Amino acid sequence: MSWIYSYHSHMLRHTPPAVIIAGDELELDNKDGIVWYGYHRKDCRRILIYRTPGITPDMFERYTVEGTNKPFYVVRHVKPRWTRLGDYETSVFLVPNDGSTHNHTTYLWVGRGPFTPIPCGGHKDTVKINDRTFIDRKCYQMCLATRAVWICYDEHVYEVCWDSYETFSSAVKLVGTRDEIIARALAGDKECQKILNGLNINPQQIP
Amino acid sequence: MLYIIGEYLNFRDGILLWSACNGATRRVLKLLRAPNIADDQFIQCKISGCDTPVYQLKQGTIHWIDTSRKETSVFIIGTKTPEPKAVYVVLNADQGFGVIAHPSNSSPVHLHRTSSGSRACSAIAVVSAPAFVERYRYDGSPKDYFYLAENAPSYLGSRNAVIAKAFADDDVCRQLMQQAGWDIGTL
Repeated sequence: MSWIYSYHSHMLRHTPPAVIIAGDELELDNKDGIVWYGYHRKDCRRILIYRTPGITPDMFERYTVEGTNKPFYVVRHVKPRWTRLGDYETSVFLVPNDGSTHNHTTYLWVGRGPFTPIPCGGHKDTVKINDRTFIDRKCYQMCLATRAVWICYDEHVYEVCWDSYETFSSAVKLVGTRDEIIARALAGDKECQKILNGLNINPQQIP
Repeated sequence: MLYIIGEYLNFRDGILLWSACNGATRRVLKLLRAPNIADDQFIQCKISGCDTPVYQLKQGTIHWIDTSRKETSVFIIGTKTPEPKAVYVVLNADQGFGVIAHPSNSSPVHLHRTSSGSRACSAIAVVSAPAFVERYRYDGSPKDYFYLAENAPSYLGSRNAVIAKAFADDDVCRQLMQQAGWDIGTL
């Protein structure tokens, strides 16, 4: 069962960077700064999100998707750094904006997987991280994208679509179910057809 | 022409018209429609001799997704031109059914999936006409038969009724008797 989430960043170049973390609850009060993690055992990949000392819990604005209780967080004036340690660890660090030329919004999708990120705009380098860890039939996954991306995850379709800092609270929207996306694609909807192609779903028909 | 036969459709749940699943680990069977098909395009018809529901759709086609994740979804899509052949979507939420080929159509089944539980076996199939459908019953009680013709479906009744009609020179029943390979004793 898959949920499809879509990210649409109508980014304004002059806006300072922000990070949207969607898909799961964060633990903001951890003393070690880990706000999200996905690992259970030593022999499984650790997937982590840290907030660095300059990023305080009150900087995380929590919202829920209208119509569902799916949480997402907006952290303004922040950008991500990340490291991957072979098969052992993937860490994302939320660091304060240092005033560099980086002025993108970055999207982190975390939670129970597996899910599949699909770049909306077709840019191959959109997805910077897409790591999973499988433990006892459970899967945790983290995806970091720098541009618009759809994420197929469970049964429904969500969309992140924001124009400015003022519209962050409605950045993640429920679009429909996976079945609805397929039905729309079959009825000719180009955007839904892109999702189907990205998921390698090829409906069969009578020859 | 498109026909949906076997179960009543639910038009209140948006795109999901029918679904069946006989257990949490069993295959989910779904019949869905694309948003370009309105309720009134489904014309409900009656079959003489039985109360099995039939819907006719003049302009539509069928796609399906049959995944290894134990989910089969059949989508009805609106088209500008009618399907050149008669295609049937056969549904059953009771004990399932079998499809028997017609002499003029040796491979009528495009899709046939079941969701088999302890007491029931729901089924969905995409079948091109002409073909026969053998509807299964609980505990081996007598099956009954439908003829999915190019122009409309018809009910043939139980096996004994089919045999009786075949001996009365009914062509369709004779074809079914021949295709089903029933062993009928004679002097």
